[in-house]
Amino acid sequence: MPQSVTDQPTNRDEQSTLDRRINSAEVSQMSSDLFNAMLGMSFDPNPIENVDIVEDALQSSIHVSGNWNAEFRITVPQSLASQIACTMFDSQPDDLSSDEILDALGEVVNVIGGNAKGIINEECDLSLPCVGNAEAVQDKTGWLGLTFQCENQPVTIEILEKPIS
Amino acid sequence: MKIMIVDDSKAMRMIVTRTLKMAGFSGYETVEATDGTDALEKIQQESPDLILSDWNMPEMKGIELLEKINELGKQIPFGFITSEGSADTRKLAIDSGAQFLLTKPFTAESMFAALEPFMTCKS
Repeated sequence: MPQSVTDQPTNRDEQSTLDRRINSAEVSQMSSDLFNAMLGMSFDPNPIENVDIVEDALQSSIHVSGNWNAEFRITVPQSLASQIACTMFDSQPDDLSSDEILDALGEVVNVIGGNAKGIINEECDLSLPCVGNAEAVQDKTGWLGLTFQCENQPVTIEILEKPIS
Repeated sequence: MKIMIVDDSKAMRMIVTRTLKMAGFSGYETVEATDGTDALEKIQQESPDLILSDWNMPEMKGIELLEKINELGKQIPFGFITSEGSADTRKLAIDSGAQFLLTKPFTAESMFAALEPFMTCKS
């Protein structure tokens, strides 16, 4: 049974500072700039509801740490990950290696995380991206999750605010 | 003219290369480096005329690469192509001697606007 990535298009904890730092419209704009303006892929900036993690889904993540701590996650089905990599490498699916698909998805979260860091404008560092099998978020305190459609497939962008240690 | 593209992502190096063509530039060749350390080695061998570097990379970040180039006394036009476009990042880049900072995601138009002053071979 697949796990749900998002319970609804947006879901914020009232105690979180997340909604004062970045909003759904900004996430939508960043995503549209990446997928549509730069990569030339079809992208609907209006979030859709409820998406389940499919079995073969891939997830890339990146951490922001410093005066604000957060993790950014991008979750896509394998088929969309492959399509993103094909677009980035200007290649056919059969010509792509698994490393190239991971590289492409890592760059997606790197761009989204870097852009968000600029919006938040706090003194913090961006980690290097990690890519692996998708995992659902368990604790949705300080969480924002939005699912969009890219090339008619779901792409879920999540921000998990973390306490400053 | 030789342009060095420094990025740990092979996908992004390909996008930068492709977007240079889409921006209408011609008469140049590209050489790639996977991080700052790799770039420093290749700068000695390749003598690039322009360096386009990511910011956030393993081994040596783009800003450290720029500082090393400055220490070596090399006068090579240097621009960042990075997802990190905050005011602080931009100020640090320019204060360290970068000529421009182009934010990812970019388009052919934004790349043309950023690079046009430094391209000696334009179409």
